Amino acid sequence: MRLTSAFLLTLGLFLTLSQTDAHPPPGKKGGGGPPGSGGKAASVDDMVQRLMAFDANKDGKLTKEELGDERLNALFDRADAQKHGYVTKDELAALLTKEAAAVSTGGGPGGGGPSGGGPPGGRPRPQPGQVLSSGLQDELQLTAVQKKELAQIQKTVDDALGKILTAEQKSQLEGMQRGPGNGGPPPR
Amino acid sequence: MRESFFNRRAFLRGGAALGAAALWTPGVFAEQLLRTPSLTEGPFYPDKLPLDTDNDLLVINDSITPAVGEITHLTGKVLGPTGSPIKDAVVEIWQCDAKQVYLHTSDSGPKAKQQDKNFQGFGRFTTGSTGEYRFRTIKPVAYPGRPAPHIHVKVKKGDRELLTTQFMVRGHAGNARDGVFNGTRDLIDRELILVDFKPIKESKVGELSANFVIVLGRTPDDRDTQPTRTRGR
Repeated sequence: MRLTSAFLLTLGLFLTLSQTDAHPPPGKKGGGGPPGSGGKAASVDDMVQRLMAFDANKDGKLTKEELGDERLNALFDRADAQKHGYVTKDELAALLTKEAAAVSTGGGPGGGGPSGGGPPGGRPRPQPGQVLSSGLQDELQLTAVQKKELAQIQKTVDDALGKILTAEQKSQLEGMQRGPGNGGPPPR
Repeated sequence: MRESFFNRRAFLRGGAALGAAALWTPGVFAEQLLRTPSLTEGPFYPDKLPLDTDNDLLVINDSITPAVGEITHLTGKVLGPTGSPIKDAVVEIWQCDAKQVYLHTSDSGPKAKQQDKNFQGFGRFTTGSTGEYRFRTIKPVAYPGRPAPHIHVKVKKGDRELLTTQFMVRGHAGNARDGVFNGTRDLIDRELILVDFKPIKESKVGELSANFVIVLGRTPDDRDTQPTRTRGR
């Protein structure tokens, strides 16, 4: 009996905490939208800098030739709204600011739910299914005993989730768990 | 008889028919090329490799029935960070068939009836000195839970896995609703995993071409010669 209520409590906690991160399930409109600003999205300034680094003659005008990367031609064309054959820092910043705003408000249909904002910057966003993220554990200053008990609860949740999810849904979750960093080795 | 702009035999020989080379100008400047972001492998890298793993995913062995789907000639290059071509890189691709089934026992097993048995589902190509690769496959379709049609890609050299990623169809409405695409928070990175699927003008049967350039973070040779760094820097 005690175990059941502990599990329900856990589930409630899990649902509350993972709300900020909820993706709309397939076929369901509304819901959270893509993870919000909690992720370490690159800042517009940073992206502009990375692109302007290709301005070889440093005249403040980046051309397609200087960019030399046809993967970025579409982005270049969007930024070069005037079609004068080059883009300036300001034009890039304007475009990326606009597109970044579209991303953080949820972008596509079904996005932008009430909880779409994500946790405030700084704290790593919790992974779906995670009872308490490591950041939260630190913030709450959990004791070693509490952490150990939490790990057990986490295992119960993981096992239970693993049993009810299909391979497809696990695939989706994996996509969500993937942070913005793109750095690490692929999950195996 | 299938009427295809690219004859299969010529295709397998890797004839110069497809002018992929003209699409890329190697780094004239010293700047580093932007690295292709890595993305999740997902659960469907084949658990049992098919007998046929060549670069023509439309036809299995000598079958006369091709796969269903929009024929796509996928080309690209594997480059190091400065734009130098990577030789002997093994490029692997996998994707679900036009009926939304992956070649994987946990997907094509339960969905055996739904599966397009003529689609190879997985293919490999080893790059030569130009770093180029080519595949003949189908334009990817959405998968349940993955509104963005995508092709999975893995690049290996020797026994090293250098990159695992996916690319999506530029302009596809499903991208905005896709968890993996949305997980890519950097707008520049997004550009690097979006690929145009363009009609081939000469094709009478509506074939498409797609080009996906893969830029690795470090050249494999760098890594091979510096496996462990004991000296601090």
